[in-house]
Parts: sequence; structure tokens; C-alpha cells
Amino acid sequence: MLKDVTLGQYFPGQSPLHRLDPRAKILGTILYIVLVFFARSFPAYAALLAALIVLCAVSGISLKLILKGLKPVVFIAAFTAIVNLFWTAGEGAPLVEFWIVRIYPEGIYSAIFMLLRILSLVIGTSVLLTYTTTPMDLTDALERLLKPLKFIGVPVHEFAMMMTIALRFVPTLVEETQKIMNAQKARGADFESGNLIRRVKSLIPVLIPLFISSFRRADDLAIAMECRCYHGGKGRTRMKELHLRFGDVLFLFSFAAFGVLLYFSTPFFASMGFYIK
Amino acid sequence: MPFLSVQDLSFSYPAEQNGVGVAVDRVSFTVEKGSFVAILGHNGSGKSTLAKLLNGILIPERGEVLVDGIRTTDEDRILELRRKIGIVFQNPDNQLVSSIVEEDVAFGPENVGMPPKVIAERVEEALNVVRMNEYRRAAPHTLSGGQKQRVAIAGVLALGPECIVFDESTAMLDPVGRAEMMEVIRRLYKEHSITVLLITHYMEEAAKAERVIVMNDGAIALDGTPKEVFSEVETLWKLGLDVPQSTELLHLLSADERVQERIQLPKGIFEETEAARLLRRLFEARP
Repeated sequence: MLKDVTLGQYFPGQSPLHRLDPRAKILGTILYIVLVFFARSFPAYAALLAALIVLCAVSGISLKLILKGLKPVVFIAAFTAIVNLFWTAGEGAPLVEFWIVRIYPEGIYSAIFMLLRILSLVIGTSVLLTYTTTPMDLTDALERLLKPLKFIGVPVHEFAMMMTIALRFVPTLVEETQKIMNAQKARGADFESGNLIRRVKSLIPVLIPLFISSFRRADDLAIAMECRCYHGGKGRTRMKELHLRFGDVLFLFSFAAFGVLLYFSTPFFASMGFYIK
Repeated sequence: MPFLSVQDLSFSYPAEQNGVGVAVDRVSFTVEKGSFVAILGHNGSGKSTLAKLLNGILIPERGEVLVDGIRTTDEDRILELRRKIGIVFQNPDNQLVSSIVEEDVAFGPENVGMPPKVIAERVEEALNVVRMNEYRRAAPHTLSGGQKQRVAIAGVLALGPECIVFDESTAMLDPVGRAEMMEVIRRLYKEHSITVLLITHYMEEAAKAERVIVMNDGAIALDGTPKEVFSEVETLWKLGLDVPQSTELLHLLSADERVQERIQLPKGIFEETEAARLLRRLFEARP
């Protein structure tokens, strides 16, 4: 059951999005999130959705996988939409009115926008970043992007190293958890029956050995790293250097231009009555 | 000057950590460049502690260790020292840093600040030596124990060491993985003239070395060629160690009067073919 844990949900591929510099993708994602929150008119949303569809198509990731990734947010999205639907007060007469429920046209608009906003946020960030970038590349890119923070005393390299090691050891620890659970089961432990409290309690004999062995692993690993000349980030080089290529720069500029256009077009569309708050 | 020189070395762990007391007790020996030395001993005989003393992970309480003329307590040259002498540890899972094989192998060279191009070359070369190049993009948790240990060797090799210490590196492997490891170790020593220090409690592995040092209670009990060491069957048994099967067979046979009447069996034989030849002579001999 624990075997098929996918890390960071990366789907291997050779699409242009996969090959894009991870730094460009991180910056692009940040820009995208900002855009999603700034878009406040029908045409702006239409443009954003069009951009999203293009990105999905370029990524080569199947629609099924993309929709599967939405599963965890379906509830939140639906909840937000419903709240917006019922609790938005409009200026005109309500469309539907019975008991305490009043639905205004504005409510319907904002419900649809909230739904679109959340879904496009999740789809966009996953397609642009987590589905098409390996966790290692992400860590690498973050380390490089945050490098300037080193000068104000943020241990950027150390955080990146911790991320790398954590990613490396997740599958190992999952495997080990399974092993310990099997060992306990062989001695009559029962993880499946009883109420919630009982089941949580039955995990204690799994967690304690897991923690102890993790500490030992950490100790071993620290020594092995030291033996391989690790002495912090000072004077350290990297085998894979990230180079911004023409395509990466082009992507960032066109994305930024798109954003600027979207932002400044909002008042124009609003003046035509497309504005929603 | 010998490559590795250990003089009057002692070390003990703090009492609360383990009550055994002295882990390494006044040990002295030297190892020449390009040799293949096995260090034998049962659990708790101090052999793993010795490994960590050799590259300055542990600081000696008394005595000193010199690697190619560099003292392990010399903090300014400790990186230089660790580039010369690498260690491959026992647990294959606890020494890989990255979730991609080639990036793990690159870890050492990156630490000492080699230029990216050189690192890439070294990684390629190291993976070729251990025959793991086709797995360069694989994640460690998808590899077998033996393959992980070979990646660990590549990680050490990429730093261009002159000596590699194997600290019970085969102990957690299945027979297939163990055979793969021994083959890589043999190549390192024969084809790449790397000095090998093999810490083990498997006699069959120790028998492949040029020289065997037997440790007991933190001190050196025996030191010699495999033939010399395996001649001391009774001593080895007393130290809680086994001897290779063929050595044991010939030792037991030579104690028998009827055998003694026929031929004089030489001591310290550990190769199966040699033992078989002697057995044939024994059968053919007339009393």
C-alpha cells in the first residue's frame, strides 16, 4: 500500500515544458499565481484559461492525470463556490428567494469565478511546476534563486541539502515502515480494527523503532558525508550548472508581457461592464 | 615512506556510550602503497573504530595516524587527506545522499569544488569502473543492495582516492551482491592500483588479500600473509573466528594419526584447488 507513493508527482517526459529551466518555471509559476489573483474580468479570465490550455497541451500530460490531480481540491473548490453563491448580496432583485436563501446574479458570477480561480490555480501550478520538474531540479533551482538571501544570513545551501536528503530518504523510510509493520503483524499486532484512538495507539510500536533507526541513519549519513569531504556550502561547485537558454528567456518575457497586458486591460474591460469584484 | 602509518594508536568511547572500554589499544602498523590488506576480527574487536580513525572522523586519544605524510589531526589538510583515503561503509542505504545515482557520485567532487566539466568526467569514469553507468539516472531505492554499494564505491572513486577502506561493506549483502563487490574490489586493486583495506569478518574475503591483520579486543593479534595467519587455526578459534573451510578440513585431518603416517599436510592452505590436490595426494599415498 505504501509502495506506490509518488514523490512530488513528477511525470517524466520530453516536452518543451519539461526541458524549460527550472528557475524559469518557478518564476513563471509565481507570475501565474499573481495573474490568477489579478484577473478580474471575463476577457481576462478567458485569456488566462486559454493560456492554461496551451500550457497543458504543450506539457503532453494526459487530461486524465491533470483531472486526477484535482481530486484533493474538489471539496474546497465546491465549498468556496457554494459559500459565494449564497452569501453574495447583489444590488438588484434576487433570482431565487425562499426561506433564508437568496441567490443573486452576482452570487452566481462570483461562485463561477471562485471555482475557476481555484481550479486554474491548481492545474496551472502543477502542470507548470510539479508535474514537469523533478524534485531534485526544484531543490536545485530554489537554492540558486534564493542565493542572494545568503548575504543576510539565511542558510540557503543547508536548507537545500536538507531537502535533497529528505527526498532521498522518503522511499527508504516508507520501505522501513512497511518492514516494521510486517514484523509487528507477525507478532500479532493489529493495525486495522478498533476505533480511531485505538488504531493511532497501535502505531506507536511502529513509530518508535522507526524514529530510533532514523537517528542511526542520520548519524551514519553524516559520517559518510564527512568522509566524502562535505564541509558545508563553502567552496562547493555543482556538476550540473543551470544555464538560461534563449527559450527560457523567451518564455519568461512572453509570459510577463502577457501578464502586463492582462493587468492593464482590466480597467478597460471594467469600463465596459465586465468587472467583477 | 609507507602510504599509511599507524603508530601506537589508542582510542576509547565515552563510558556512557558503550561500556566496552578501550576500542583501539596501542595499535601500530604500516601499509605500503598499492597493497591489499584485510583486517579481520569479530564484532566489537575495534576494527570499525580503526577505520574512522584512519581519516580523522575520530581523533586518536594517543598515538598518531599518518596518511601519505598527513597527520589526521591536521585540520588545515583534512580535506586533502580525505581525498586520498575514502571509506565505503556497511549499510548501503545510509551513505547515498542524492535521489539520482549520478548526482550522488558527483557529491564528493562537488564538495571539493572541482569545475563542473571535470566532475562530469569523473562521475562517468567512476560509474564505468563499477559498471553502473546504465543506471546513472536511476533512484537509489530502486537498486539492489549490491548495486547501491557499487554506487557508494563510485562516489568514493570520483574523488580520485589512493586508498579505499571497506568497512564491512559486504556484511549486509546477499551472496550475489557480495560476489559483485569482491569483483569490483579486485579490479580496483589489480587494474587501478588502489590500496585496499578490507575490514571484514568473512574468511573467504580475507583470504583474497595479500596480508591479513587479525584484531582482538582493540589490539593486533596476528599479522601476516593469509597463509601465515590461517596456519594458526587454534589461535583463530580462540579469538572467536572461523577459518576457511578447506583450512579447517586439512587442519582436522592433519591431527589424525592415520593421516600423519601417510603424508605431512602443510599448514595454512585456504584455496580449494590446493586443498583438493593435497587430498588426492593423501588418498594415493601408502602408509
